[in-house]
Amino acid sequence: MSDRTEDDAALCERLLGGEEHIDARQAFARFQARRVEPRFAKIPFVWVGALAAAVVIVLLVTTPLGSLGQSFLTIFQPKAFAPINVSALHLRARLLPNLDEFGTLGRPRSSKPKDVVSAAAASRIAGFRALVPAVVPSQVPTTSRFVVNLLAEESFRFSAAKARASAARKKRALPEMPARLDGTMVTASIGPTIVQTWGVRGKRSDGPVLVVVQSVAPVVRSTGATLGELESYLLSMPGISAELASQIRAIGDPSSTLPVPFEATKQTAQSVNVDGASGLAIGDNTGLGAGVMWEKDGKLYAVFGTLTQDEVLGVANSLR
Amino acid sequence: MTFEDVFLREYGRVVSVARRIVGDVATAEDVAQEVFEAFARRFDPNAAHASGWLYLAAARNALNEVRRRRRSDLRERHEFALRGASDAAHQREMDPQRTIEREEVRRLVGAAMLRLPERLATVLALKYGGLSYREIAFTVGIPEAHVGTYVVRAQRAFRKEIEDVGSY
Repeated sequence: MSDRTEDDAALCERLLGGEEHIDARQAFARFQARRVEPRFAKIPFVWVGALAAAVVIVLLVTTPLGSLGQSFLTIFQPKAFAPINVSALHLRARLLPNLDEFGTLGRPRSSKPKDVVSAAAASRIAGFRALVPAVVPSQVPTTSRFVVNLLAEESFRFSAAKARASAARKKRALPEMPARLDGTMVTASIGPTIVQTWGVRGKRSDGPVLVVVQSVAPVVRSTGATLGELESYLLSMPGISAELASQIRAIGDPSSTLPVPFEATKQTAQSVNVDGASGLAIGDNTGLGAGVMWEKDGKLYAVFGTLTQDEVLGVANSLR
Repeated sequence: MTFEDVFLREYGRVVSVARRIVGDVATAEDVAQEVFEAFARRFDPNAAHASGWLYLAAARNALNEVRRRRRSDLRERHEFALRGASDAAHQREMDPQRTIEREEVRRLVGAAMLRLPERLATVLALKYGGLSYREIAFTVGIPEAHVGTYVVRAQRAFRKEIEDVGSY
């Protein structure tokens, strides 16, 4: 071996060598805990949007609006929230087909998020005044940061051909897509959105985390095709139980009620009053985290963190 | 074999491979958790290629993590400059000499790994992550007899990049 090669190997050994002491059992426990932590994003937003749209669409077929046919309709704008229990018994996520098995996700449209250091700067970019909490629990770091996103949009077009092809390829049955559903496009958009975070660095957190989200309320639109069939199609997908389907069908005013997934075996969901508006609080019985969301004057607000429910509500009620 | 069996058998190796690229165990464990989450979603635990997929995913996700961290560091430096030097929390973090040195080594290693062709970076991470030449050959898809040559090339390229990045 030449001297040069030895030098190369020695440098690599110095910078890349060494051993680490890893406790795989402890890591596995953490892995399992991560999988049951409250995660509002556990079901992709498009799924929530699509399910909400599915329910709303039922209304459209039974009203004169349904006759608008192919025009682009605003079918969903949340003003209230309904907890939807997605316990393991109700939703077997592993059985749910991916969206690309029965349609095509459009290219997501999203503005580049802007990091700013003050509420004033965030407000200027977003075009509405950012509320900031007067009270922050003492265990939360004192410094916060703001991220402003002007627009995020996802769209999805149903395709009967893709559904048939993927069912044949994967040798599993998907419900037959009704002919009139083929080609329907559903678009969900949200923004501008201001997110203020404490204790979050990149994707990680070093300690207690607090997040305040405020956004112009999201909107779901549809090309309005073969309406009633959309709901029964989505709710008949493998992985969605009869209980879950009936919960979604039972939403009182689906055109303005956002279904919020939670796991009843590990979390609680209750109606609360925040600053005069009615909202939904989801808490975690294990103490891992809590959140609350509400709508006021066309804006959607959410506060969540690794805090108790009382602390989260205290922050929410102190937004000024 | 259950998913738990695969996790317990491979977790240490996956962390070890990722650590060679991200530079610290805590971040490597985060990468490993993501890798196993993706594995659980996609594969049967008894899949023949499970180990190879896990090691490759560890290297790839670790490289992505270094890219993400570089972007976020740049943004933070920019914000720090805007806020001025009065940010006590930031100063506390930056203060101890050892932290700075450790961070500097981590930054150098990450930058050098990113500049290498992905296959060479992967071979280095696998070798110093504790895989045998046979396992490296299986994971990367090259003949076992060629692994030694790849390792020497990767070591040489890594040293060159470290020198380039270090003198930058």
